[in-house]
Amino acid sequence: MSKGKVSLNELVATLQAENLITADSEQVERALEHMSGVQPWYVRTMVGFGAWLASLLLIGFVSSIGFTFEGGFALFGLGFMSGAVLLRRSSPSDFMIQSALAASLAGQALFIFGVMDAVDWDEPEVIFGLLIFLNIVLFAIFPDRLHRVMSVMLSFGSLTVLFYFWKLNALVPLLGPAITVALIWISRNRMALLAGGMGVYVRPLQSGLMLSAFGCLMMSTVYILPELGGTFEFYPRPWISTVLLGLLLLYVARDAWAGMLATAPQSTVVTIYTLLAIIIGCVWMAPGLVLALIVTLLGVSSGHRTMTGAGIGFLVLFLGTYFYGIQITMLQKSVTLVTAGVAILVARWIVLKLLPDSAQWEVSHV
Amino acid sequence: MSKPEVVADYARVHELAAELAFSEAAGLRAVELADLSPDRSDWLRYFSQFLMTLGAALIVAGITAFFAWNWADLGHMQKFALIEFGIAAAVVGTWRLDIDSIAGKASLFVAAFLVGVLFAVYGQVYQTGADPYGLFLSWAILILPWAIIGRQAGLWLLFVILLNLALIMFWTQVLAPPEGWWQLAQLFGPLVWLGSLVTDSHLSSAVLLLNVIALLAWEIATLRGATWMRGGWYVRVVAFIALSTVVPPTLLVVLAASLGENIGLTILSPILMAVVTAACLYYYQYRKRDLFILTCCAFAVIMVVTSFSVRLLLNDFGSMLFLAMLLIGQVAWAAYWLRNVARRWEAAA
Repeated sequence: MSKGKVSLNELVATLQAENLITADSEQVERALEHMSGVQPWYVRTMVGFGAWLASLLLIGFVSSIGFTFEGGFALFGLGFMSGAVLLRRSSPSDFMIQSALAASLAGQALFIFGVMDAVDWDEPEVIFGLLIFLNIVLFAIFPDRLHRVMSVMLSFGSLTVLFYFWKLNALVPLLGPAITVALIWISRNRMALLAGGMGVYVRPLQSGLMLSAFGCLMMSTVYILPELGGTFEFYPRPWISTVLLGLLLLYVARDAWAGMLATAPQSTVVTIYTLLAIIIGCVWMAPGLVLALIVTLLGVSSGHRTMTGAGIGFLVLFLGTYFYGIQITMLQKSVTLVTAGVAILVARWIVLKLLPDSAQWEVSHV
Repeated sequence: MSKPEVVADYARVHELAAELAFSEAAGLRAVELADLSPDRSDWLRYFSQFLMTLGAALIVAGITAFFAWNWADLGHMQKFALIEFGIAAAVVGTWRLDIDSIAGKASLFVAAFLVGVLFAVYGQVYQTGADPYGLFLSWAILILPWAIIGRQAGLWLLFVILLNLALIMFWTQVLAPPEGWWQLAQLFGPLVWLGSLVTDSHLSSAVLLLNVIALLAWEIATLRGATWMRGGWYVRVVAFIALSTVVPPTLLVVLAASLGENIGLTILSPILMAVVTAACLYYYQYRKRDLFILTCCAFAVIMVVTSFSVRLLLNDFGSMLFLAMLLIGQVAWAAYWLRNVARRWEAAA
């Protein structure tokens, strides 16, 4: 069987022959039927964008209704969210799924606005705290993958905003690495989580955490001019993120080394880890590059092509944003990028020289 | 009815494991059977290709940043010598490393990119006052022979992007320079003039034509057996660019037809959009399978229909409910249709 071309039918047949599937044949048939409907990321993106746009129109409609009592919007929002959960749980049709998504997003906005309106609270803690709370609850009870991804992103986005309101800017560089730790843990333990009945949460958590980590690290490229922001530091000491993500990269890279260095001597392993540490040192002020490498490695090691593509896409995006950032001079950027590039090419050359039977990959034909 | 042969990819294996409540052992065995975890040979291949591409990309970005810094203490001739040495070294690297190897391909791409840096530094040093389209056009012409012999999608994509930029710059600076308030946009740099694509139907049609030619040429060459052209990402990127040039002006025509009389918007954009979308929907559904391009087409249609409905129906807040339902219905239909298309392909495979 060629790589990536094994069919689900073949796979299930083998697992059944090895007595690894306990479900009856009717369940298996139904599951296989359902598998042909799994949608790729770009269809989900289109659906998500459509739901977001529709939720804006729903908010526009509801906001035109006048309520004679305070908290009317909150009640309406709660009704929208409850209805959305019921709708999503009761119907598998595309129209109902799409309606439920839009209603839930609109319901969250209306509920928060209604609560603020009714109790006259407009502190950011209330707004973003409520958003986090709602999304934690909805993550558990709203049975939709796309909605769960949005819930994770909205929760971490709200938490980040709260950090700024609490003047905890110093902690912002820790947020991206902390999310990445969760992403790595879930990716490594996904089969144990699946076996523990958490299957429906694993993939949305993975996607949501990955996108949240991307968002956090993109903030490291934002610089507010002192004339505009005074002493406000948007992303202080990005090197903290680089160090922490660097340690995570060394940890994640074990998969690759385990695959390549099974028969290599200890000195080769030490050399390779040293080279990796040098590369991390070279991108001291560009932590997003390290995150991109981690995500790409996680994707490759688990055969998750979308994650691999996302890692490479983020690398390009981060590089572009980093290039246009004004926090450091073009000369500093140039030194960072060229030394990192040279270090990577030297590391590649050394590794391919050190590893037995790897000469064919040095000049690999595509 | 025969069961469709659905490929066991990451998403499906995990969905199946969740749906059938696999034990951990069953899950790990499924991953092994589906060949999702790379073996030593795969790791070495990924490692070699990815690090070569990444290293080359970072070095090129770093060199570009260095010359953008415009170091005053570095003489003109030294700047030119440095870049020309880089180009020569990259070309020699391509020759020595084998043009079909990943290292050779990366090296050739670096050489092609550095040609643009050379032109940019030339403009920086001599301040010729020439229009920027000349830079992009000369760059494209000079790298064309390398693109032909290089046989890599990345170089061809760079070539097509340069032609796009050259055409837009030529149009907005020489052929039909904007008049009135839009001229002020030049103050923000020539690339801001890319916005002319949205407000000038003739320009967007010309850019669309360019990308359609690039797409057709690629598809014809693929059909004639050019095996190195079979990867899908060049086609997807160029198709995406083509649709992006024609959809925004169409939306503007639909939403604000009266505005169109004052700027360069005409009925040409909606007509071309309809033709290109219909052609893509047919070709990438029945002749060559590409769900990404079909999704882009479906999304473009949804945007146009929604804009049209907004124009006709948005009279009061109550109509927003209808518009929301209409949008939900369209997206749901698109998701349903795309799923059915994918199932049909799987059944036919």
